Amino acid sequence: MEANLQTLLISPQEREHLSGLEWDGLFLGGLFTGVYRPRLLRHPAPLLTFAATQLFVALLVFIIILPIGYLSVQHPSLTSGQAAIPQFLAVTLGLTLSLLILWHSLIWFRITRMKTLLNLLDEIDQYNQTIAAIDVLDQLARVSALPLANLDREQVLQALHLVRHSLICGLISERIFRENQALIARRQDLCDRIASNLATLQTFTLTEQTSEYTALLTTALTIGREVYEAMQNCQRAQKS
Amino acid sequence: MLTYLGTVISLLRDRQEFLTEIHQGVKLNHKITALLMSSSCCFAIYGGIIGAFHSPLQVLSSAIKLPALYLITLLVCLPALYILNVTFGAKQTLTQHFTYLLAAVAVIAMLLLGFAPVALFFLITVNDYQFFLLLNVVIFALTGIIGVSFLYQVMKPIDTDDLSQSVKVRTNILRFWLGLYGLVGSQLGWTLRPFFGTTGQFELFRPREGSFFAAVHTMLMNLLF
Repeated sequence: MEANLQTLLISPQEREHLSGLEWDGLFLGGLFTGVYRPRLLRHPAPLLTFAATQLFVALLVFIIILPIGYLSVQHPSLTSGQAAIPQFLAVTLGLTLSLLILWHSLIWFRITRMKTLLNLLDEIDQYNQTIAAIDVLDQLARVSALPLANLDREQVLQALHLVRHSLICGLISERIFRENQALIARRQDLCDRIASNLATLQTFTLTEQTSEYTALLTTALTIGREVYEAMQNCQRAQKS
Repeated sequence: MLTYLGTVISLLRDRQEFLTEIHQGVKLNHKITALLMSSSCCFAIYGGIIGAFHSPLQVLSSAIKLPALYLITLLVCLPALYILNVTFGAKQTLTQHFTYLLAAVAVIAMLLLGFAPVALFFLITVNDYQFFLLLNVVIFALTGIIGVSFLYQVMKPIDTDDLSQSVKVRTNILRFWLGLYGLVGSQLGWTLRPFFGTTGQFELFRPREGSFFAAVHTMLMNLLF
């Protein structure tokens, strides 16, 4: 990947730093205290990871509440042999299931509170994929020795630069909203910058409308617009 | 899942870096998840092997009981260590304490996993309950000593920015706590038995009777007199 594209990428470390939350691929803010990204579950690999994690958590909860199951079979009416197994399983599995339901309820509560951040992360994924697509186009152009549509490429890069700036502003604003529920003067400034970036993005026109870059610019515009909308929603939610 | 495995490998390969990250509070949630996952899996595998001496039901039972033994002991003893340390000037958080302890438990788990082929070998080739029990007692003792010494090295306070008196007190607290950890672990092991399962019918738990220490005392008396 060319250096100018590399600098445009938003790395996982940068995302962690800006959002102030640990980033674990699927989970955000840790397995037990954070949330998962529901949109990622549409893909098979994260879905498999999610299923395995659920199984692990269920087993871990089962292990931790083992002493309660042990106490439930210490009643004199129960023998210590195989007769104790149904009673033990009923208590431990029942408690495990209850705790898992509670855990998932907490996760859903957090997901609704962190909707803006989750949307922003989805946009960042899409943004990084757009940069990867430009890299692929660059490689194809080098191999096939086709003339490069330099002007279009430059415009897309400029657009992506603005999108990057919007995304970073979005992450910072979201963190400020999240960590400081009270009104903060800076948030208006950050939201104004996102709005200004969107306005600039909308002025871009490509010389070759059929170029592959057109699709990429459209993607960049969509991301920019969605970041703007997400932040507007976040602002409205804060006001109400 | 692979990122969790990478975290545990980094504990084994680059221990100092791993511990520095805990000290600085870097990605603690991720480390806790990775250490919990890896240690539970390793304990479950070893538990399954020792349970295989008896029956498939005992395999299942021991595969759950062995991780429970180590993790519950840790949870029972953690508040005492944290409160005593904080009272005498430690600056680490509860999460950092938990991560340090989990790292030590993960080291024990990895060592047990290393010994698993040996236990499996003797399980297949020797049909002697006493020998298998003794072999595993040796393995548990050895891995426990290594794990505890690891924890002692890791958590031993250093007097770079603390008062030396506070460091001395906390070092003594740590020694006391390690003893307490051993006592709680032994009693919990006694309570959750059987792990191996003697010949006869499968038992989920044995009736609550006496303590580990009373049993050791009785055994020694029987041996000596």
